[in-house]
Amino acid sequence: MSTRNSETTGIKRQLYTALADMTWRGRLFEEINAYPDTLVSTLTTRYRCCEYKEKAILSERLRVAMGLAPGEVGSHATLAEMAAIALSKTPKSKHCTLEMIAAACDRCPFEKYIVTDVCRNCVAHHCRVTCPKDAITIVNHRAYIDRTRCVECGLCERNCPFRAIIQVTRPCEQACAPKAIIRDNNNVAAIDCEKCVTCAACIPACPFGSVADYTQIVQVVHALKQAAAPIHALVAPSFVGQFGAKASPAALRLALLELGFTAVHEVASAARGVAAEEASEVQGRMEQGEQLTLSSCCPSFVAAVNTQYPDLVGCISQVPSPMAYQAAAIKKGDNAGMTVFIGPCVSKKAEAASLPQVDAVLTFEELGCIFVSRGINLATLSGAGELGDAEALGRGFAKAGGLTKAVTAVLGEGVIQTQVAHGLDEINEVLSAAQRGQLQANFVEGMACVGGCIGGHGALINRQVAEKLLERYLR
Amino acid sequence: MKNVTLEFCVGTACHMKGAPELLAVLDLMPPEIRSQVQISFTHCLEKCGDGPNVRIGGVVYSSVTPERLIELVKQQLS
Repeated sequence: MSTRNSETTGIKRQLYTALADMTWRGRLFEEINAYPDTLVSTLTTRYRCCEYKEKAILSERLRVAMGLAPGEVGSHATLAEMAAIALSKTPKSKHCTLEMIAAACDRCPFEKYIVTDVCRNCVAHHCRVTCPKDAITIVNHRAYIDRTRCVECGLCERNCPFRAIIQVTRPCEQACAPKAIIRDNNNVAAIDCEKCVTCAACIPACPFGSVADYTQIVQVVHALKQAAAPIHALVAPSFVGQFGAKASPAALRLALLELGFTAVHEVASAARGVAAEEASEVQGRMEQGEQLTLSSCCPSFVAAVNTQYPDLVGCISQVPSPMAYQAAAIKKGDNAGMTVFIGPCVSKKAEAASLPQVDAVLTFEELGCIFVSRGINLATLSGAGELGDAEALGRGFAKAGGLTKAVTAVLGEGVIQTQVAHGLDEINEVLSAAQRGQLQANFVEGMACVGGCIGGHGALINRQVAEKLLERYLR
Repeated sequence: MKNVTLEFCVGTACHMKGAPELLAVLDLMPPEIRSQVQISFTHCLEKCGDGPNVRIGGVVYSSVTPERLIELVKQQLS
């Protein structure tokens, strides 16, 4: 999560809250067509060239927020028609959970080096002299880079005494560790789903808010409203402090029950089982001569291994993630119904798409908007007790290193060598070493977000704050 | 020395509209100013649509940004 609550985040939350509100009131089909008009008239700042473009982009954002990809709706479908499609389907996640909204992409310059107005057409012309490819000429009293010759070496940038030549990278491309951002024929950014690991770093990176993730807000609210079957909330360990300084774990439980969830479960309570299975898997593999096991909790980590380190795919643990583990247990029980995972993670939406036991995934941000739409204020809810019945060991999964700690607790200190890698940069270092056979570890816990799950893009509070609150809570 | 008391609304609506970012500003204040600022939390200031809300000296300020909060504190202390 970015440290600043940017305007793009503000608009997103406004849309989510409005969608939930219309769905609760049973007025989604009647009101959604006019909603972009209403919103544009209340926005004090105009972001785009004209209000028509503004409305078009808002409509696209609403489509994505209703969980619909462009191919799932007709090209001339109204928002009300889209809403009907969204609600007619059983809520189910998508494999590719991020969309680059083409209309919102500002087509930032993608040329790596640009000559700016600062160029004085000096006599020395260090840029032209140092260019190894003769790509620089002087046009209209200014240096000009011939794109067909430029090899983006950067010598001109470094050698200009006025710093008139600058290096530019699209923010989305810069944020994307697996290099999954591509350009279409019109230079609009796009996501290559084969390479994307759904880390969601591009969402806060784009200053135009062009990247959005599909949500299941209307589907979940609709199910809560109908209350046809039991609906289980499975809350990720990283919930601590997410809903504000005065919102206790008990208040979160009460708020979820007030929304209409039948039961509230702490995913952390599945941690003991997961840690035990993981420990025996690592040991079992070592007995068979397989020295390395990679954790399976973080879907973005698993995707990174699958897409970039084919030699290591066999090392991925077969143990289900805590979400998969707990949802399966609930589905086996007498009171099975719908399971909704709630966490800080966009990637869990992709993981859930291939898990029949998980019906829907909400981020803390999306849940927060649903609370607001119902006027539920967690700060005013007081109650005794906890969110669920988990142990501290499981609650520690929220932070990078938590899984390793739990596995070590099962096996005993010093039995296996462990390595924690969090953030995709660190993961790449560790996996590259593993691929070269230079990694001294039997178990790698990989977490795509820096800091682990509490650093997730669907989290509501700053990672450092969340870390402090978690430590205090675990004591 | 003058003091100022900031009452932050930490209700869910204000939380979603940026209350955590306002609280983060406190850590960035120079120590000599921070020592003059007392804080307290409130559950609701009844302007949920316009959050984040902060009450200073009985007046409720709405849609407060981190920059605006710093300005308000400076005003109160001057």
